[in-house]
Amino acid sequence: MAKKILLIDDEPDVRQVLQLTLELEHQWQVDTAASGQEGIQKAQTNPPDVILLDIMMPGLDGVATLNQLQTLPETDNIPVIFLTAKLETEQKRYTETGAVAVLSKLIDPLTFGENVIALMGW
Amino acid sequence: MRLLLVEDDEVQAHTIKQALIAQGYVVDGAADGEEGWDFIEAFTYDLMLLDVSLPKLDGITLCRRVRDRGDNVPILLLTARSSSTDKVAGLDAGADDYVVKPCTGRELFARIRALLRRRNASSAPLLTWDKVTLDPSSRELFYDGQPIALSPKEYNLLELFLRNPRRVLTHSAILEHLWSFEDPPSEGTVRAHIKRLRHKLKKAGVTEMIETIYGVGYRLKEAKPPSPPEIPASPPQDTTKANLQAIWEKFRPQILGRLQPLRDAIAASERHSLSHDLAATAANTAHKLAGSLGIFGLKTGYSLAQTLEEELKSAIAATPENHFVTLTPDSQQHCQTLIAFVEQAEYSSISTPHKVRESPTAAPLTRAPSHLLIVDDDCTLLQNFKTAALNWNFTVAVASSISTAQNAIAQQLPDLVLLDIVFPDDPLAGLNLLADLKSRYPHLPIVIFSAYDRLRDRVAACSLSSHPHLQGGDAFLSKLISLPEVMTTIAEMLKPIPPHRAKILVVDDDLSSLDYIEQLLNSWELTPIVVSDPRLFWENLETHAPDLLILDYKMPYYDGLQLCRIVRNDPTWQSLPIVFITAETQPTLIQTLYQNGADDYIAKPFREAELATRIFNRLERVKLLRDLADTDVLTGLANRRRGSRDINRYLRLCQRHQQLFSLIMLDVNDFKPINDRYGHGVGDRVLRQLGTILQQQFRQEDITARWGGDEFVIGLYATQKKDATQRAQQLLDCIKTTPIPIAGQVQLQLVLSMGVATYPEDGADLPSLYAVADTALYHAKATKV
Repeated sequence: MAKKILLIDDEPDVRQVLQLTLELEHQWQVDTAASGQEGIQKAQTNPPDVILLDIMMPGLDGVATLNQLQTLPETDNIPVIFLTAKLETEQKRYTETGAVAVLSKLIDPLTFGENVIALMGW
Repeated sequence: MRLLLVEDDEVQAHTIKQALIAQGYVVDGAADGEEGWDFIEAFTYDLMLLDVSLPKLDGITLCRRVRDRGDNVPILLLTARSSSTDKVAGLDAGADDYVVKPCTGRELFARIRALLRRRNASSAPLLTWDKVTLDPSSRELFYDGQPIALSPKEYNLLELFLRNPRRVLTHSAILEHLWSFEDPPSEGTVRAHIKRLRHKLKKAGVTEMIETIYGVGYRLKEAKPPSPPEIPASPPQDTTKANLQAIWEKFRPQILGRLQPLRDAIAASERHSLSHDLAATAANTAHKLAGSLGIFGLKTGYSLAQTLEEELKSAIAATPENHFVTLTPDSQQHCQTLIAFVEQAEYSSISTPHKVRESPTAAPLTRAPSHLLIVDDDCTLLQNFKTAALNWNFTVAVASSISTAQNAIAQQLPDLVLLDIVFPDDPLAGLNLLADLKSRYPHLPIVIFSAYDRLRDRVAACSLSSHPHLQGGDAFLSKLISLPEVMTTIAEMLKPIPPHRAKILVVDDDLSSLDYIEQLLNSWELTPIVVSDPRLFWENLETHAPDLLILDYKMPYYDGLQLCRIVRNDPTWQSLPIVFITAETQPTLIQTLYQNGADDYIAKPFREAELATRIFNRLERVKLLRDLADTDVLTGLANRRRGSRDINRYLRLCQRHQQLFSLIMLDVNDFKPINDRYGHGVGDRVLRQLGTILQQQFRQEDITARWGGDEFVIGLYATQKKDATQRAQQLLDCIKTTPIPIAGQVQLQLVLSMGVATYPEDGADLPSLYAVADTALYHAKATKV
């Protein structure tokens, strides 16, 4: 079974790049959401294997989204990986929120999926 | 050669036919227009002779029909009348030439030969993909030697892909190329055509030639290497890379748009009026930029944007609510650098991740950096230039006053001067410096840089015939254009001139008409430069130096007549051919056009054939077609005459700029036995294939010429011997891994020999370099055996 990924990010270019590279390089099913709200809905109706979640978004930001996901019975077990363009020193703050990891947005698009594989132990 | 003769007079038809047969042509005869049309539809001809007055369907209508179906076969009209209306109507209908009857056999043969020659000269080399061969001159498609029948649209579609092998073609790009503005179809139509084309190809045995690029468009797949067992299938990453590249292109405008808040913030900070809100917007923008650059692996930009975001945030935090935020000089610098970085950033699927291709279209690394002198009193601008120039492999000297500029030039003569002609304290200083430089260094390229609207100046200068020195500048750039554009222009000017393909500048405010003309010009292998705003005319004229100008008569701001007049008043451009397009055709207007220097005009709405006739006639008159015909017909490379001319030009440039020049000479080992054993057809194919490989392996600005027989010559500007040898070796390696298929399963493995000679160490002119390269080649051959 192909892995299911839900990517929540308000930036369309980030969504397209990651969706494309994960679909083509790993044949995963990648669904995307442009806001925390939309992401929570999609996670409820079609629970993914992992959620990639942008921290800084307008409206419901990454941390608030994660908090909500953790309160909902359909989604509280889905692992979440934070994505951020913040400095590394800043990133540490987010590891205590219950996310699996915080990944920097400085990526090599071609090998990004391997980070996810390593983190998830797939 | 197969000719069609449509002539209703039996006696004349018989005489002409016999004479042509005696000359060795194969001739089909038809006695009226309709019969002629049946022949035209059924067979392919190399040339058609059409009588003008024919029963049922006259020659001019017939000619028009032929052109309407996109057929470029040479057409010679035969007319009994010497009235010029007939001739004009015939030429306008797309005929190439006409002969007045009765004519001598000798005149007729001469005209036929001339037309056939012209056709050969302009016919493009074959396009190939795997075992698929497309012949643009006959519009035929073959797979493994078997013809595949395609509709004209399908054919055009496939040709478009083959001509743009590595490009992702979006729906709109395809629409633009293949449909006229009169019948714009929907995206669904493109999809339907692609589907039918794929279906036909598949039926013929060609699979997976065109791939769909997710959400963007289509692309020609990379052809499978001819020897499949050794080379593994292309990794999936290639597709991903291509897709990523397409996404980058798609989002680039948006990413560039994000720079504005940053520019605003710097400007506001300099005025000490940076509000909290604007600073916060800039910080947010920096954050988004970090994200966008990061996911493409652009590390430098990512770090810069991150740093800037933090700096902006701490500046905001350190400023009380109702005070203005101040950016430190460091932050301002970071901001400037980030802007410069983003403006030039490229996601390249070839580059290794985490690296920006540092010089987008800059000179190759083998070339010594070009030295620029920038004369301007605007310090911010100078700083920006310094930063940007690094990425373009330019070294830069700056001068903020005329006297420092003169000192700088005395110390080191630059390759190019960028000059702001307006110095506030002395309005004439810039012009005087320009005049001085022009008289002392006539070959030094000078780009004039000004905040003033050039065309208005030009028009004013022209009508007042004021300052003559302005004509000394080699290009004129407005300060309003972006830094990368300036850099691109400079790089273009410093680049040796690539082989010629006629450039046509079209100025028309009607966008649909502009699109249509652009499409036509592209399809005739001309390079269109289209301008819809006449105010941008002069910049484009000077930047692109077109070979012909098409002007719309009626336009806002400046009409065609005014533009025509200023062109005619400028010594550099006064002989540029100008063709007008006009909806009005009153004799008085036409007369005015001619009086003001127009060479020709064409009435709107016009037909494709008409425009082609006008343009090519005009180009021919300025002897351009002779340049275009300097192509080796077999290989599509330059022929010897053109090759030597280009090499001599490069040698002159090298002398002037103290550059090196390398000449590579190549030939095929044991070529004669190939001809003897397999016939000249196979020999020709080998040479053609070699021509294709040479074109792929070398850049456009490199000279690639067939010197004769199986001997090829390559000229590399600013290249030392070591690098030239290396590039030649790469070519040899490429030939080694690319066996050339001949009949059936038989493949030929070519071995090439090469010799290299370099200016100035081996000689100062072409003959001596050639001799040295020839000796080296001879030695290479001798030692190999």
